[in-house]
Amino acid sequence: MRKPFHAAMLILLVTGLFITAGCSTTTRNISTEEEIHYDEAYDFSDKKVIVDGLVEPLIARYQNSGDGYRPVAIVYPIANRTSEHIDTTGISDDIRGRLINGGVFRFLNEAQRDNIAQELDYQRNSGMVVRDQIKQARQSGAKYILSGTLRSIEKEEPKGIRLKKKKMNYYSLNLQLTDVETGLIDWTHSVDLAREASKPIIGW
Amino acid sequence: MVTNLFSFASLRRLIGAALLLVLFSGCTAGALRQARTDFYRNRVDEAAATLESDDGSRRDRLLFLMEKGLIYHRAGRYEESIKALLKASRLMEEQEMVSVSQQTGSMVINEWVTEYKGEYSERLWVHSYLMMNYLLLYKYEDALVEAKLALRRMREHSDALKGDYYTRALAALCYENLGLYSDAYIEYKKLAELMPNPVPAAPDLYRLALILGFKEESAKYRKMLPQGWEFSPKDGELVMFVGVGSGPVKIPGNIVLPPSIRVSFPQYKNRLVPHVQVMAASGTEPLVGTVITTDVSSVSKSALEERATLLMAKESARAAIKEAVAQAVGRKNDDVVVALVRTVLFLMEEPDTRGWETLPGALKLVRFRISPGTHTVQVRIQGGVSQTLTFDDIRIHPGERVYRSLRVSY
Repeated sequence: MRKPFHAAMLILLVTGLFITAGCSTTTRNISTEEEIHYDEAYDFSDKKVIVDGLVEPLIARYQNSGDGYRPVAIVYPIANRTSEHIDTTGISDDIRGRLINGGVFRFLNEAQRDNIAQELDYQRNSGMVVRDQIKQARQSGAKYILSGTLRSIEKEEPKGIRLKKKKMNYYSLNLQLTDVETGLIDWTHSVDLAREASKPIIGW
Repeated sequence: MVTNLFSFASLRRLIGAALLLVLFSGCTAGALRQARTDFYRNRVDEAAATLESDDGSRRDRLLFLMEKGLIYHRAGRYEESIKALLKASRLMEEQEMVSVSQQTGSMVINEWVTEYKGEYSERLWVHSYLMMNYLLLYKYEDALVEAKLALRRMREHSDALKGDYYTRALAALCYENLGLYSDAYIEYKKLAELMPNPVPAAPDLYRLALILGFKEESAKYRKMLPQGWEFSPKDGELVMFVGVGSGPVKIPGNIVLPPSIRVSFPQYKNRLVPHVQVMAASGTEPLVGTVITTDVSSVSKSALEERATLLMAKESARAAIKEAVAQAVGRKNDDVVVALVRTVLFLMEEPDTRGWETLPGALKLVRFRISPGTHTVQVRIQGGVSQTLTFDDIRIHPGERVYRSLRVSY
């Protein structure tokens, strides 16, 4: 009589544990170096692949110019031509950071232009001690414009009788370095990514 | 087992539970009803406040998000409208998976136990309203993302949604804003082919044909230009998104067969949509414009019709299951019990009449050409509640556009 009772209790306990484990909230740190994809859409792992794929050839191209001169560049927004709301400033910020740290280019801070003008204006007109005032007409001009376009092509399996639906996303980021003086494209490179993911059509 | 299932005691419990389901199914959440009432009484802020912290139950969530998005749009709270509609858009993607548990429940009870997934047309208009919101905030890249998603939906249901001229014109405008003239031209051309009268699309086709160097096409569309329309690359535009009247509502339709088989289905009923003309003037100078209109009621009906075959197949299967249940009960119980069971099953057959009810009955894309400078524009609405609106401080830079949204009631 007691054995079936114990068995039933055990089953209840195990089931309870499974349910509790399934419902509990968990968190863990993951490495930003680890490549993780939940679906076919753009994610942080893609950003890393794109930035790596573009920065290395760009550094290699300008690293050995020989005279030690680090040209000044400005980053223009990377145009998003995909079907997803992607914040491309993350890509351009990473590229700029890697190029500065790579010691090849110097960059103008376009986002701070108004603040710089305001600060200079304040220094000139606020009665500041002259020796502490920043010298004027010392700002650099950009020799290059770094710009790019992120494009995507999406495809999904047509309607049919199946349990899973496949989707394929292709991303391409084309980066260009334009010489401001001549208007010529001095360097260009693309990184392509393609991923297929399948999702179940039927779920609980 | 069957004896136990259909014993009188079991049946009493079953009938009690079913009656409760009948009471609760077929009901829209109170907050949603209140928000819609406020919205149509021009108490838009109250409507927004009602839904502010409420995303509804899981089964009505999409409906809540759609209504919330449109209410915020009308209140001029475009960022909040975007948040709600992006949530709706993500939910629509998740809902692509068919839930076995919900479908099983709906085969015995009715469609109200399933998550509302929106009609094909409503799913499209989530992207249309997102496009409008982004344009009103001058976020052209995000508007283009929504344009692409809208066009994808239009491709998926090309027959049902071909009458939505407004969304296609809006998508073309999004391409044009970013200098993607070839893509814009293709969409305007499709629009001209689909519209019964292509004249409203002619100025854009003419202008883009000139930019793209299509000489024959530009000559062709020049002949179709409205009177007084002249192309000047320096001109800007005042683009108005005008929602008119009230969109259609779903009402129940029924087919009753003896002894107690009820096949029910939703159908759209039009609400009042006044015929509206939008005219504008800067000072005393009338502005020349074009209007592209979508009849929301008509597109909604086409979308529901496309789903009708699937809907009727499911309704018939449910009717067959219910009849089988009634007959099984009849074999084990007396006539009173059978009559009671049949009544409950009959009442449970309630069509799913959920729908996005704050949509307008018509969407008009009105584009006025306007010269560079600062203007005070008077917009006169004729039809519905005739009114004159004044837009101060419309600053037009050469070749640029300014956007405004308005809703015309009746």
